[in-house]
Amino acid sequence: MSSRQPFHVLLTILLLFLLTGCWDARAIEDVAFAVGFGYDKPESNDKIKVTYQFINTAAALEAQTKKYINITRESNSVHETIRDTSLQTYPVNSRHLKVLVIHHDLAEDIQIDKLINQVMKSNEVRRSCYVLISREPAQQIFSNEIANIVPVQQLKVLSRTIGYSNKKLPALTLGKMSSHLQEKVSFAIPEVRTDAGRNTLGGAFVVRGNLQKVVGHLNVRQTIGLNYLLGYEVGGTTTVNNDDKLRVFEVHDVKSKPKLTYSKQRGFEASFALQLTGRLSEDWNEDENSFKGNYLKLVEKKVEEDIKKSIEDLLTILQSDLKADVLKLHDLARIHHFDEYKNIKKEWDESIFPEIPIKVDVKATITDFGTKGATTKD
Amino acid sequence: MAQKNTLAKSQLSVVQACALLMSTFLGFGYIVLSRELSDMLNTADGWIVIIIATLFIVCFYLIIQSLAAGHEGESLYEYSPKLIGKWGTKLIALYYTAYFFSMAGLEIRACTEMVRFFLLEDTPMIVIIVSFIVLVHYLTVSGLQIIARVSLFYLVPTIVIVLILMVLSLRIFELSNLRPVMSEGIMPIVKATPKTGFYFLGLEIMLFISGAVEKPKKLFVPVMGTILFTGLLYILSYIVIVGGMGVTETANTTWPTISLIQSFEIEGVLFERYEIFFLFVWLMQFYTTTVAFYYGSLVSFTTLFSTSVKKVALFSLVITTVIALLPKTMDELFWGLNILGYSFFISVFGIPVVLLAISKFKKRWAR
Repeated sequence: MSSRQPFHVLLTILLLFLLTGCWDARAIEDVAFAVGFGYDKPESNDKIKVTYQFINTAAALEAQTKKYINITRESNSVHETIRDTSLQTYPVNSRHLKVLVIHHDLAEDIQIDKLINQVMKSNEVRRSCYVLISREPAQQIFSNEIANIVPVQQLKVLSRTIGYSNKKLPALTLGKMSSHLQEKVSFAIPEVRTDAGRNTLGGAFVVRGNLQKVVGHLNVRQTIGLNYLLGYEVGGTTTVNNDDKLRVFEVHDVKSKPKLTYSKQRGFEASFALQLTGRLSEDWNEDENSFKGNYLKLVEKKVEEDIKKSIEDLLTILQSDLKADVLKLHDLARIHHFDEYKNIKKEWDESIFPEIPIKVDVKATITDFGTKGATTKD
Repeated sequence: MAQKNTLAKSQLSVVQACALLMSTFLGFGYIVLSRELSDMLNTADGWIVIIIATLFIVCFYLIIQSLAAGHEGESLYEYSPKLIGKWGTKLIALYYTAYFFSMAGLEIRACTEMVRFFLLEDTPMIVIIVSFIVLVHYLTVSGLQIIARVSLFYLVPTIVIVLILMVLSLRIFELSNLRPVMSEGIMPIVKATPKTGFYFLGLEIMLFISGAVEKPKKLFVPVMGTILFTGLLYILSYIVIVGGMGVTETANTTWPTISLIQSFEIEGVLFERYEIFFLFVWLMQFYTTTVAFYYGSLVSFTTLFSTSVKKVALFSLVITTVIALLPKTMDELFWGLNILGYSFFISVFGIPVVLLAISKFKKRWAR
């Protein structure tokens, strides 16, 4: 056996080199880490303009320099713009891509499915990357910098924050969006816009399923309605005005029960039973007395009216203007009325959904009123 | 044919045999299972197909088992001369040689494609393939017991990690993706079932190891359990993947399991991204699967030429490498694996059933 030992040692060393994967070694300072992709409509004849946000690895140690670098390229395909950046910086590594921002102008023109095709095919981009639609060009969104924080990093944190505001939708990942696009169903994408030089979330853009393009916009109030109808636990507050006295209802728990029925004579009919529970978190009334039973009932009623209004607002725009079923009624139709749905799947958004009568029943319950329950008027 | 094969001499415990079998099951099939089922069905009924396929596989095993029961302590090539003679055995050995070499080669290639796509982009394919094959050969010639021990050693972390990953993936799970059940009726399910045997590729290895098991009588129930447990793991994975991504998306994704794990990040724990764990355990599963097939090919090859492993070692290494390099594109690879998926029925059902029939007849004539 001893005569074979040198051979074994040699083999071990050889395998060590082969198995560690040194072939793919790359010095970390020679890689451009892209954290954000921003898609815009180009000024030239090209199809697409892409802004890449790279982490400035050289600046990691110096406090004063910018922490990121933006590079914008125009070309006829997404992948070509990526390759073009290698003319200006190190080869791109998009394993840490965090946010994809698409300008709404572009998303109204080109099918989103096509726009994201490159990142879906890529072996580097993860499906957990967030997607936002911007009101201003993505190039601008990527330059809105506050306190030396990388803009994309901030967008990621904002997207992920949940439970504080009902004015923005929960984060949408690339993977979920791709699933929606493949199923050809409508959905809403969270919006980002510039507000006094800051990137601000809130509102949403709506994509119609068979078009796969952005067809319209939901304002903040309509987004609140959408959040609640879909039963998202987004938290947030509702302020109601009762005889010029403001009351604030903070939502803690949302339960939404959608129902879709079908009959030959009346077609599809939908209803939502919405249950909100929360706290009376602010009260401008000089003689509040939440300890008394009836006091809260009045506030509850006002809250119900208010939320119902924003939902009706939402339903009107969805059914008459946008013609896009982002309420996931198509899911119920597919599950419970498959045979009917199968034949009308293609025209669901445009001709079936707008005609469905939707009943909404909102029930708000105030479970507590904080550490102060009454104000005494002299 | 009286000479005992040096490869099959070692004795296996029942647990080791089951671990070897399950390690052989878990390979490339698991990775593409949810995509192919979604693609064939267009509905979320793949789990029903897997249940039916598992039952079929159980039936196949019954045949292999009753064949082995008549020849305790012997493997296929030791009892087949008594049934179909020397040349008949050589014919079977020729078939299994071709089958197992192709299996091993394509399994390595599939693994290489995964490694190349997700891990080592710039490493030349041939380097990955050759180092993989050398390692496979190294383990295989160490004997059946070592193979089984390594299989068991790799299998436990694999199952644990896969189950953890499935639980973590529940955060993007949506039940509505799996409904409605049987929307298109029973026909698509019936049509898809034959192709599903592919996911249990490796059952034929039981023909070759049954003779090496210490207590063959106690083997039956544990092997049944192994098959059912594998089926259960498949069903679980299918449900989690399709529930997380939807049928259409799953059908359009090349590596659905990895895509699923890439769909979420978990903050606040030690790790945010978990696909590396899957790649890591599945490399081990590719390895043990390939080793089992390579073992089958070496046993068949040496039987075919009545020679020893040492003499055919170099040739086996070269032929496996060539087969692994044969497909030029991903499509050709999938095509090759598909063909093998069908010939799997000959390996696991056709040949054993013929042998079983002959052995039953012979017994009757003898009386």
